[in-house]
Amino acid sequence: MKRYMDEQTVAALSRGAMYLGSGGGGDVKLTELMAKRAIRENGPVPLLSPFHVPDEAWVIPVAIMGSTTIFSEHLPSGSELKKVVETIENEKHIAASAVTGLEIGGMNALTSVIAAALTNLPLLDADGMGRAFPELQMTTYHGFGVKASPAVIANRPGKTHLLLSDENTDIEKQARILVTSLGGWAAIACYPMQGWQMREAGILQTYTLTIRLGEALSAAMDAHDVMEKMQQVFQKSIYGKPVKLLEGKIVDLQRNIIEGTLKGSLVVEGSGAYIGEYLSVFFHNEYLLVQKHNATLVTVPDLICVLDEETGYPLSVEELENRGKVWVIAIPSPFLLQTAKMLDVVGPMQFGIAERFIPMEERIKPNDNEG
Amino acid sequence: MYRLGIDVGETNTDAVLLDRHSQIVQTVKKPTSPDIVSGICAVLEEIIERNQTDPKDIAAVMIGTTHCLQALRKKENLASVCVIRIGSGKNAAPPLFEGNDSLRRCVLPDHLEIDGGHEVTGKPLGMMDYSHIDQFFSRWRGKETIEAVVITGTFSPMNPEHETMAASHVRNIVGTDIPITLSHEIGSIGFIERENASIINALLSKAMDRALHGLQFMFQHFGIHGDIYFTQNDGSLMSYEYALRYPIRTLWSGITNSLLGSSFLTGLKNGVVVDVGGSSVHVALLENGFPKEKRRNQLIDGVRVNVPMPDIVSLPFQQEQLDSEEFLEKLYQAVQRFQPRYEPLPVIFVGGGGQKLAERFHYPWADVIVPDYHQYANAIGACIAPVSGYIDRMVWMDPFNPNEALHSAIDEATHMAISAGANPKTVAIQDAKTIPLAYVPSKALRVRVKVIGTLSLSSKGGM
Repeated sequence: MKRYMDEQTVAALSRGAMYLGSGGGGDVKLTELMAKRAIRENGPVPLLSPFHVPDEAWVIPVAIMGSTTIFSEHLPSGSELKKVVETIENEKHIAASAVTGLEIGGMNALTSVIAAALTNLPLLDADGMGRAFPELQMTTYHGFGVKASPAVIANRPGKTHLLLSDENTDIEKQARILVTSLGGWAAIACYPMQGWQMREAGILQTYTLTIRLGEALSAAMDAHDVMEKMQQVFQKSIYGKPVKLLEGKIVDLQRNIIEGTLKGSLVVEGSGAYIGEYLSVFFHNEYLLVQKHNATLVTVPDLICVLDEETGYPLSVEELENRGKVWVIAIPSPFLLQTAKMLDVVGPMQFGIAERFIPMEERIKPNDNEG
Repeated sequence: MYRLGIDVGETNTDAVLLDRHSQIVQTVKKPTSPDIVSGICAVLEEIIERNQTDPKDIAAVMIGTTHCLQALRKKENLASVCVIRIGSGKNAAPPLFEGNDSLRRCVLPDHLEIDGGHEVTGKPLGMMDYSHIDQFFSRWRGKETIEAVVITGTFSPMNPEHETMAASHVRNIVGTDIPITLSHEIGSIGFIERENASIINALLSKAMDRALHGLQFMFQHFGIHGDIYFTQNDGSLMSYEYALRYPIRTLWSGITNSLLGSSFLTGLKNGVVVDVGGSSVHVALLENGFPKEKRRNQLIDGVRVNVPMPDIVSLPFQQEQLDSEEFLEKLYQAVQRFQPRYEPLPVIFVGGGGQKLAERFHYPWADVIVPDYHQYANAIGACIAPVSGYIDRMVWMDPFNPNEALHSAIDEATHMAISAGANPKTVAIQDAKTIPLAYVPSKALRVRVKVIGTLSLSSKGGM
């Protein structure tokens, strides 16, 4: 079955991708607009099933890394995303059969669509994070042995930077320094791989799922509604069933810049059925940890969302407001992220949380008053 | 000493005269005229000529109007707009890409992109080449008329220098009659949203200019020499000159006024307000005495913008729908949207049809209130509107010191409020926060500050 992504599919993808950002991943609106334009001018993008790509066909993941706020001011032309794909092709003397996602959570769900539309390649239905993460090695591609190198970075047309290293973490270090010196964001293509590797190392069919989520949420009115629809969609997916942890009011919000990055926590005071309960949510670019009265409920890589009660929108770390009324919910991560190999890369320890990962389903007893 | 509040609605122009103790002295209701001015004229005739009020006693006039909202809805008198981008945005998405065709038609099909703008650090991204501006305008000369110009520069909320430099160059070419909207005066961080808002401001400049033509002269004719103010979307006042320059800020002022008026008439600081007008019903939330702001997904006519605006649900309404179960259900849903999940707030009905609709609205969860003078809530709201100073911008700090950034913004906003006519003794901080950026090590910080104070009638406002 071949599916095409048109402007309407892009709108659904963008809506769904916000919820997979786990508080990060950046605002989807600008990349959504650019993807729509690329499709309007170049035609719909074929969405390719990972099971239908030949073993030896080359697939190139793309993304934009850096500050989304700077990106929203210092606009891209779109051609950066095309350029990085073409440069990798030249560097490796290969012809790509498809582009694919690096990160499905947030704005990068759309950057791969833009790249596909501009290069006239299909989009392979998979990504390497299943959510949003802050660093390039925090992918299943890395976890399952794909080399990030050669990686190519660009943030203005005509100028690319090639990064080479055997160590994926070293590519991340080089890239981060380069992105800062380039003005705050850049397009990147890395982890070029073949079809057989993709099937082993990718989180598969996350585009289809995210589009389905976005379509289900198109008419959602409030947090209550959003939660119900999310549970329906995620129940039949590689993710687990989302759980509502608390509804209430943000009573304390600490947002700090520590060593140049955004870190902090919020405390939500329960209301209604949750009166007398308090949750603490810790974040570092994304939400990482939820504790209730000092007992841990959820940790990364499971997904944590803070929904605006009134509209059901997922609030990013940058959008949090003191006294805001919110729902805190959690979504079990895809199993691939919970494997020992991946926990070495995206487990709680990697984010400075001194705890072993225990899946949220084992920590939280089923609760009848949810939703 | 009196304050005269005027509300120019779609159907009626209302006026209320308040004395120095905020007691209502007079109320007048007249039909609205298409040009605003003659409706106001009829109201003034009643107050000054028929009721023998001494015009010298009127210290200030506050006007709220939905004129721009109507112009935008009916697409009447919209200016044809020329768009200039400085810095980035080359080929990202054309101006108003997501807008509807009726709006996009007003934007000249060709826009200009020139180098320049700033980085997040405040350093220039490139040099501006004025010859590109000259060439661009010489191509247009004599072809299509340009009625307004919009200039948006990369990171102008952090450093507006290139926008202002380009503006003075454009001013020399197009002359003094064509309004130029600079994006840093309209919106905050987010290039596309800020440009969208600036384009809408420019589109409305023609409608606003026509509507207000001769207004000042008319007040003088009646012997009123007090300052003229307009109410803005956030419920605070701006001067006549500012209203001409920033018509986008008046879009929702009518609804905001009814919220302030409702608060004044009921003494309540929190509640759901239902404003019943001639052809529509607006529902909004009164939160701590002010309209609740919409914080996400701000749209004007389907276009995303990043300007502060109140959160409103608007329902089309005809008198015949008074007994329609379907309409009452829709209204109930709209009210419920604003109600907190627990402890529902009172529902306040105001506006001309407020009483009749309230009688038919069954609401078991909280009080339904129809205050005295409810049909004049908008004009009263305009009368008691405060003066504000508002800052939303980005700063780059080396060394990084969020407290210092916040304090200097508070000082600046306070100064803005006082120079706009606020009594210094009443100025208080309504909102002040700093928001850091995610994902890159940076010293950038977004600062948002709002201070408000009451209008000092003795001072001459500058804003």
